[in-house]
Formats: sequence, C-alpha cells, structure tokens
Amino acid sequence: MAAPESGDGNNGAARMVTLISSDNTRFEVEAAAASLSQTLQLTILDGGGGGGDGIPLPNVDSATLSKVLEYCIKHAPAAANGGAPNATAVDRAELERFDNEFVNIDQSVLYSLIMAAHNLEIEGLQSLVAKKVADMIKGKSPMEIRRTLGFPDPTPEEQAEMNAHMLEYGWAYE
Amino acid sequence: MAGSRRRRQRKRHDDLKPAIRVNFVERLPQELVGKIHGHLSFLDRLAFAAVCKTAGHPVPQQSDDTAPWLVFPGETEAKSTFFSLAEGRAVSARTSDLGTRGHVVLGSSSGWLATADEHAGIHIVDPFTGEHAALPDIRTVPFLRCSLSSGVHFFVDTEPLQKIRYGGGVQDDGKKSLITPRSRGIIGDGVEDAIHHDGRFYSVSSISGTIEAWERISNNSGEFKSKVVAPGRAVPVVKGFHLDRKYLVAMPDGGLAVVLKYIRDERPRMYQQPKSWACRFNVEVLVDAARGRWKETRDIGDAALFVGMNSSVCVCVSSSSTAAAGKIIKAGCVYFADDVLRQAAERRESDDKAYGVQPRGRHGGASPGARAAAMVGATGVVHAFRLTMDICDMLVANSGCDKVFFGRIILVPLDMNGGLLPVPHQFFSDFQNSITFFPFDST
Repeated sequence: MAAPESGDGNNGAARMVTLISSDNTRFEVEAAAASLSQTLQLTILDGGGGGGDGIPLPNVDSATLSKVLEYCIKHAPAAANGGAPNATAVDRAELERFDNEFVNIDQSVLYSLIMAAHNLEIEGLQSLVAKKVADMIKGKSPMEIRRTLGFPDPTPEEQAEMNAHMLEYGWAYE
Repeated sequence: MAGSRRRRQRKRHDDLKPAIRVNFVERLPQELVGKIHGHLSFLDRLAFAAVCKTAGHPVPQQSDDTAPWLVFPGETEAKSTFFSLAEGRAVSARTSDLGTRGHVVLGSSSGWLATADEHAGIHIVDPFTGEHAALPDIRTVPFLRCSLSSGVHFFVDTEPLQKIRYGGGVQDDGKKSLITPRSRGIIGDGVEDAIHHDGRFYSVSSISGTIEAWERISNNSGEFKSKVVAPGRAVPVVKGFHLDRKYLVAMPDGGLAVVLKYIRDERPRMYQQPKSWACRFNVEVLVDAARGRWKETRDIGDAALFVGMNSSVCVCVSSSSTAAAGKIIKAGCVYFADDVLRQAAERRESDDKAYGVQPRGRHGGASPGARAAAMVGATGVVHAFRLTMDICDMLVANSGCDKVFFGRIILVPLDMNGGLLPVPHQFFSDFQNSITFFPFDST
C-alpha cells in the first residue's frame, strides 16, 4: 500500500497518513487519497494521521480497508483535479473500466464495502456500490430481489405484509 | 399459472450462487437505499420498494421518472395494472392497498398519484409503498366553487385563480390570460387543444384550425406569445356526423397531426333504451407547414393515439422498447376519453342499466368491461380514461366506425401541478369554466 515518497501533489511533496484497521493492520497512504473520505478529511486537515500516530478505524477490517484504499488511490488524481475538466476520454474510460472491475466481487465483500463507504463517507464509492446493487436488482421480481440480496424466504407474516403492500407481482404480459 | 411462476423463480434462484448469503438490505444505510432507487426504473423501483418496505426502510420520493406509464384497471376492480411504456413491462397492484379502489387517477406530481373518489375527495397515493393520504376538502381551494344543483359539481372561478397565479396583474383579454384548452367559442378563434412537444407548447385553434407555437416572453411576467406554425384548412364533411372536437397530437416522427372527432346521436331503437351516440375520428397529418398542406390518413402505422380530455399522447407501439405494449395497446387505434361531460354521465347511467354492473367488490373473473387508464407523463400532465371495451365493440359494429375505441371520462382531471386546466364549455355555458365531478360508481 505504500505510495512513493516523491510526488507532485497540490502542495509540494505528498503528505502520507497512516490508517489502522480494526484488526490492527497499518496502511500508509497519501493524504490526498485518504481525503476522499469526508470522515477522514477533517482529521487529516487537522494534521492527524501523520508520523507514528495513525488514525484508528474500528469499523473497517484490513481486507475491506485495502479494497477501499485501492479505490481511493485510483480516484485521487481525478478528484484532485476537481472532477477534471482536463481529463481525457481515455482517462475516464480507464476509470470506468476500473470501477466495473472493482465491484465485480463477492456479495459479502460488497456488503463490507457498502458499510465502509458509508462509514467513511466516500461519495464516489457510495454511488458505485449503489449502482452495483441496482444492477443486481434490475428486471427482478420482489421475491427474486429478496433472494438476490440474501433475504431468507419470507415468513408467512412477511409474505402477507409484502402482499399487502404491493402487490402480487403479476409480471403480466411477459 | 402461479405454479409455473414459482418454478421459474426457483430456477433463476438456483442460477444465483453467492458464496455467502448476507442479508444486507435490512442494514443498508438509508441514503444508499435512496441512491439505489436513483439507478432504477419505475417498475424496478416498485419491486425494490416492496422488499425494502418489509425491511423497514422508508422509500424516498423521486420525481425524475421520465418515461410515461399507464395505469389500467386489472381484470377485477381489486387490481390495477401499471404499465411502463419505456420498459414494456407491467405489474399489477391491489387497489385496496393503494387506496385507489373505485377511484379515478387524476394525475401525478413528484412521484405521488392523485386520485379522486366518488365524493370528489382527492387523495394522494404513493404507488411504491401504498401509502396514501386524503387532501383537504376540494372546497378549500379558493378558486373552486361548488354547486349542488344537479349532482355535485365544481367549477373554476377564473378571476381569483388569475389573482392567485399572477398576482392580479393580468388582463383578461384572452391571449394574455390562461391558455384554456377548451375555450372554443369563448374568445373567438381561441385555443381548442394544446400539447407540450419538443420543449414548447403547441396549440390548434378552434375555428380556423391554425397551429401555433407558444414561447414564454422573457420579462418574467409568465406570459406566453404565439407564432403561427401552419395555417389550418377546411374541415372535411363526414356524412351523417358533425364535427365535435379537434385534438393536436405529435406523431412518432415528430410531425404534428390534428385528430378530428365527429359525433352522431343515435336514436334509441327500443322504448326506454338510453340515448347513445357514436363517433369517428379523422387523422390529418401536417405534411408541409410552410405551405399549409395537410393529408388525411386512415393508417397511422404503429402509433396509437390517446385523445380526449387533456393533453393528447401518441404511443409508438412497435418500437423495440415497447414491444410488449402491443399486447395492451393496439396499434393504429385512436383511444378516446370522453370530454363531453353531460354525455359521460349519461353513458355511465346507461352502462349500469344495459350491462347490469354489479356492485363493487362482487365482480367475478371478467369485469363488465369497464377499463380505466390514466396516463401520467413526466410533466405531470394528466389523462384519465375509462375505456369501455364492450361498448366500444358494439358501437364500432353499429356505427361502422373503424379503428376506434370508445371511452368515457368519469371525472375531469384537475391538473395538480397547476398547469393547463381543462375547461369544458359545451353543456355548462352558465359556468364558463366548470370542472365537474360525477359519481362513477353506482354503489
């Protein structure tokens, strides 16, 4: 995870911060990348996370954090350009390809990622996982959605409630 | 049927093989649920909402659904069918749970459906969650007046309406005031029908048939100015019928067409048989706007035209995204919703007599044919239809009209967004701008 010391970030040499996962793994990352997280941004602006201190993240385990940081590092340059009016189409296409690849993951990982994106308030990642979940839902009936999203089959009461709310989904006229 | 559906679901279920099943919807952050909704189309949102609802998530409102969709009554009154034109799919919903049983859909705004019951009570319904609430009594609207003379009906008092909307600064000289789509005869060659098309309002005038495009004047007064797009032409005479209405429609290719509605009163054949009437439609396509050339056509191809009260809509049935629409909507047809109020009420009574409409809640498998549809567009423009298929068939057989579906509007839609107000005039000349509510269920 260690990024090169040199760097031509916004303010001269890239500042590094240390993040500590719930299972006590330390990650060293550029401040610009970590700042994609609204939660971390404030701490980092206050000068936290530098030196040997590190920022503890008790809600995020190391596997998830490394995944999250992979995203942040990839997206940090574009974010630094402020949505990047000067980004080329190639760059954007590359990011898109990366994003698609990135969420092509197991459901349990996806879930951890959703929670991490939420806790760390990383807006781009939140949108990305929302889109992924939406893609999983598209064209499915409520029962299929339940199964896709890992619901147990409904109890009779839940079934009644579901029916009461909507709908016997006829999927008529298929 | 249900069995095969279950099997199909089971099969798809087996195809999905997540290594670990995590029930994460229950714990999804609420903002994320909102974001997921943002990526889903209307029907997918319905399905997702049904799941989320049981997981205790509130469903956020969204108003950016762009595709129009249709609400048809199901086979019985207990169900409605939502049909998305863009997706070519349908789902059915229980009207009792949506609080729409026996109601007529008036329109939509910001994801809410507005409906009205037989007592003119207006309700809003969230079709995603089934949540519904009653709006304040219609008589609390300051510019609506209520008359109890012949059944309850309501009419718009235009003066306070204009004061409320324009601060009283607008002169009532016709052009500057409200564009009233049914103002034929009131202000001379006034606007008879108007549509929103291609980012502008277009209108057809009542006497000359002139097509005008309307643009907002850029001085913040909210006024619109019109420019003639094409001159009208003499209306063809149809033997035995007289011209009743003109409707403006945008065709699938973007061109404009005028639908002419001719009607004829049918003489009752038997004693005490209710009065009936027949109608037919001519479609005139604008071929060359500059020269004012029109062409009559009996073949509108894959299009289906919805005309009647409120803004007309043309649906292209065969385009790939709406292939399934062909099973519900027939290409080459004009769907018509009554806009002559008194006649609509008469039809209602005659249906009940002629077809023995059963009391609510006791419909068997096949309903007595009453089908209502409401079209809700992105702009919140409202169309309420009640298409009566068997009456239609009878009339088509009796009157020689072809390609016509006969319908009647039960309730004049009131645009909840404060857009164009429907202004029927013919039978209520004493209340120039009247909006009438008819009871639409006899029980």
